[in-house]
Amino acid sequence: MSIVDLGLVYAVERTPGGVRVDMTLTSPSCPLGPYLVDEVTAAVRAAVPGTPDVRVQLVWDPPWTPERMSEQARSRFGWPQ
Amino acid sequence: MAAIAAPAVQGLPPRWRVPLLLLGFLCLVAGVTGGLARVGFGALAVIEPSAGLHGVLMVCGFFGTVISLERAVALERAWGYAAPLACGAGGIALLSGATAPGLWLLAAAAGILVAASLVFVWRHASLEGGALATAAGCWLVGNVLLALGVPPAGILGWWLAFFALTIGAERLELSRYLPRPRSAIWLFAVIALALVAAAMGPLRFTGIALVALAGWLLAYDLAWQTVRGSGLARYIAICLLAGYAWLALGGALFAIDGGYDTAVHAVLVGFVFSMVFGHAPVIVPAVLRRALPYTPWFYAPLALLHVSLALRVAGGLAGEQAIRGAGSIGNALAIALFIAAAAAQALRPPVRRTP
Repeated sequence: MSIVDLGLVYAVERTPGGVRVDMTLTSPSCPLGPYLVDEVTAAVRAAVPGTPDVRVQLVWDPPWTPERMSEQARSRFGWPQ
Repeated sequence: MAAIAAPAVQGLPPRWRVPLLLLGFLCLVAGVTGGLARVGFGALAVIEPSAGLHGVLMVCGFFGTVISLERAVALERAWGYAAPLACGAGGIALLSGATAPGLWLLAAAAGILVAASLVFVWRHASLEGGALATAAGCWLVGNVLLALGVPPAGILGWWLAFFALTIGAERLELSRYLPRPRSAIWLFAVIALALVAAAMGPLRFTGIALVALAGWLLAYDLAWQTVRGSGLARYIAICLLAGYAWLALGGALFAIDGGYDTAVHAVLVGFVFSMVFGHAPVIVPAVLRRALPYTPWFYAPLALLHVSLALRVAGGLAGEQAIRGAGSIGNALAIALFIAAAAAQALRPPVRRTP
């Protein structure tokens, strides 16, 4: 189950300078936030080699809700279809 | 081509977090060996006064340092690291005989953790955030009372509320991935309030609230889903579910006055240490930026922890000091074995990813 399936990635945009990713967590008190930002940055750089500017930022507005999960994830966690 | 900047680490670079963690581990060693001295293995107490400080070294010096370090990483502000620093320094001060400064450093650490927790509530108001801040507040009350001269047994309810609410809030947050009735949210809020109210009364009230929380966690936790998976997810789920069983038993023992020492260790070893074993492979990379790859070998210390705790609890309930002592040694060995296994995994050369 990826962070995309969990609905934690809000936006991935190609910008004139590179790639920008907006992502969130279920809670701002989660210590994994800065670590995940680094991991996502590395993943984008690996997927788009040579990208000069990769900006991944944690955003809290709008807050995450379970509706943001993919159908596959919701099904796996037992949400009604 | 423009230079690719390294990701900025806000707050405190990971290498500077290591000394803070080491302070916590020093308190852990002193606390564990002090605990063993209390059950008849005095020769193992590596630091003279640690037997009398066992509880405060474990609760504040080790767990307090680790929890506040984890919170500081999420906060991404340098001042947040003052909490683990004050915790670790407080533990060292206590060991060096500076009792009053040590206890007030621990109270200061809890105050900083409250402030950090309130920042998260300000960033995103939620029941989970409120419960985390309340947990820190309970720790603050307990530590201030301790500094004012109340004995550890008199503030135990506050410390238990700190652990129960901290772990409960984190599990509540993750349970959002599951469909859950609205009544579950209200029930959690009621249990959280009961834990705080119970801390002001006899420990049997706290015991009842802990049993209720264990019931809530067993009913709504994500672990029932992830235990059907494999690898790390399954391992963490087993740590969690085993911990909830101990929380229920420990709470029940408090509720029926079934033995102070036995109840305390059922909760703090069976519940809290099981959480530490389970979360270390996730939290260590976040705190130290060093991978801690899962290995099935992690089950060895986990099994030893729970089996030896069962022995310890049985010995405590039966009044058999030799069995209780053997269980205590097993607990200490389990912690040492887990640290050794985790260190071996963390120091392994990274596996190169294939494209």
